Amino acid sequence: MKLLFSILLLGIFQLSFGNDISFVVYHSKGSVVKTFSQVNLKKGDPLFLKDAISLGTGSSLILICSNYKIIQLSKKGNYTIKSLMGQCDKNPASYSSSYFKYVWDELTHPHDKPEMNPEAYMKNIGAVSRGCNESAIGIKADTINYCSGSLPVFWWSSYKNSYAVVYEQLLDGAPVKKLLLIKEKPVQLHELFKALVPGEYYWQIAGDEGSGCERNYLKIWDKPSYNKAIKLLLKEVPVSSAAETAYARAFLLEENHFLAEALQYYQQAAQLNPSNIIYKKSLAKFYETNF
Amino acid sequence: MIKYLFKRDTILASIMVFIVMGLLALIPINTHVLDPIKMALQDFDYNDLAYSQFNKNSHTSVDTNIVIVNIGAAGRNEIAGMIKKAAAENPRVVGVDILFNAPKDSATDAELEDLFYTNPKIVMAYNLVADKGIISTPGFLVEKSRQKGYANFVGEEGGSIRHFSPILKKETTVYNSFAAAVTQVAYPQQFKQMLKRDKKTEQVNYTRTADQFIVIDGLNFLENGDTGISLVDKVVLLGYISPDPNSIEDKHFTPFNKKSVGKTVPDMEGIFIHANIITMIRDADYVKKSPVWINWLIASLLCWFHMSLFIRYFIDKHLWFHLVAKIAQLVSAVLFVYLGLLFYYKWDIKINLTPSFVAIILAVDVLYFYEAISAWLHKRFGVYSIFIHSHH
Repeated sequence: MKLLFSILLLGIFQLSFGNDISFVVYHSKGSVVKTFSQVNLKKGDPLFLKDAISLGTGSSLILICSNYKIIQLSKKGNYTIKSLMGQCDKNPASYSSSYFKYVWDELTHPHDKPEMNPEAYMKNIGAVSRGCNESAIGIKADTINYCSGSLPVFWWSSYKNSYAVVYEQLLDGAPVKKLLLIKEKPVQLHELFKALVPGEYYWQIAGDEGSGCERNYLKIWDKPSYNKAIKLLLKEVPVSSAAETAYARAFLLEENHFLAEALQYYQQAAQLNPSNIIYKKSLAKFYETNF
Repeated sequence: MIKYLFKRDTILASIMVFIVMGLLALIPINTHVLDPIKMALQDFDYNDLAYSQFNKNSHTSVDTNIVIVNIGAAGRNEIAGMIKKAAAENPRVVGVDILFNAPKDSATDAELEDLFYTNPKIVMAYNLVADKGIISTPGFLVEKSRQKGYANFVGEEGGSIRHFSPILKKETTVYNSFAAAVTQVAYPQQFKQMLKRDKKTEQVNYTRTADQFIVIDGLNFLENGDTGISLVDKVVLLGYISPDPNSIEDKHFTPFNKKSVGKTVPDMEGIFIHANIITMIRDADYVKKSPVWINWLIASLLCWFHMSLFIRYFIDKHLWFHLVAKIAQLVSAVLFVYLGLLFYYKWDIKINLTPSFVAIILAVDVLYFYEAISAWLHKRFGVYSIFIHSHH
């Protein structure tokens, strides 16, 4: 009877652990196989704690943890699922430690009252927002046409940690590129967009948990098409003085969302005629930090 | 009760209640951590009942001096049009309770910038972010607008809005709240009067619900112009009012909420809260708070009377002591809430009865403690006490 009971317990134990899905494959590219079965992994495949995977050269894999965190693997090699589990939650906490942390936080939070310290209680905003209220960028960049060139963009966010993130989709999906941002330093979009293959993308400023704001449209062009499009646009600009021509080109390029080129021409116009306030103001927009 | 009212022990035990209260207040931790009732009532104020249950100010007439323009789903272009049109009708002020977070369309943004920069009668709302003593004002038009005010209210995050901070001073910079900035343009005298009060926060005197303000549809106003309501000499406020009662966009909890405690949905748009604040400043109709010394005087007297009653039963009829004490505490609680609410309902006077409540609740426990100390003092020093000489 004791033996039967032990076997039963062991069975339940195995079953419960055996069915514990650790990851789900979100995206797989190249040669990504389960080490034991040598089965190629595809979108939606579950991975268990006992599994191990192998990534070939140039392959990549995006996994979703049970707590919805994303793990991206792109380095060739063998990985056990057990070793990847630690990346799922950066702050693992047991029930007991979580409970006592809660008690401690509650016990020690200040005895403030809104009337005494209003500054600390001004999170309720009595106004409707137009545009994203979690983050903002200094230039209007709903759409960016990009191929190459420097494009620093000043930003603001309410997130603790901020990232510039590129996605393939307008909604949801895993990031294809993520750049940690440094407060009060512009996001170097050319760094973010570097190595992206030509195509359509979406990008935004996001926090650790993502962002509730609309993503901006990004088109990465190949060099010949990009040059052709710019040439076609600039053909329309009438040639006058060098500074005026540069400004007109910059304006037209900005209106058509070729921002990196527009910035170059604005700089050129301001250099050629430093006394022109309109040129200065137009260039200053790109370096605006109060927004 | 009278028998023990002027006894030395009654007075000393009452004093001890306040000493214990002082000692409890010194403990630098929140002892309510595991008290679900206290946690649930964290954002509760008895005076809210005056609005939600007893319909305080329900008979106030519609405010004809304020016209609210509902922007609905209008985009920036239409909003700019509404501001321009409203400003052209010669109102006292046009308050724009909309946050423009980031640039979008250069032509419309330039138009908005021009309106906020050139017209001193247009007040823009912005979000004030206070983080560890550092103030920032995000929003790309904030720096460029001439008249502006922060739209932030004061209260627990997602809690009931009862207070606002009229102005915020940080070193040499003074930040006006949106309502204060609107009042500064529309009613400069009343604005100065408000400044003279020099209050860090003011309690919002909610005199009107959403139905007691004039609201016009912004898109209709823009397209047809004639809404039948003149904006001349009026305070015009542009804001968002959702047609969906379940929408929570720019909606906040206020004392008008029928459900004072527990889970519920917000009940009032930010624009109506600002309108109530503007009305309050204009009419100098502030909520009066009883001075601290009055609160403590009331607490002392009530504690003293209760202590006398408790001592009488403690010594003379100990069998009934706990029953009488509990009934007395309950009756007192009901009576004090009634009186507190009455003052608030009738005369907008807010009396803080918390010290009285706490004193009466602590009185029973302190009485036992005091008796033990008396016994020790008597044994050690032969000090006279009614607890020693009257055996219960």
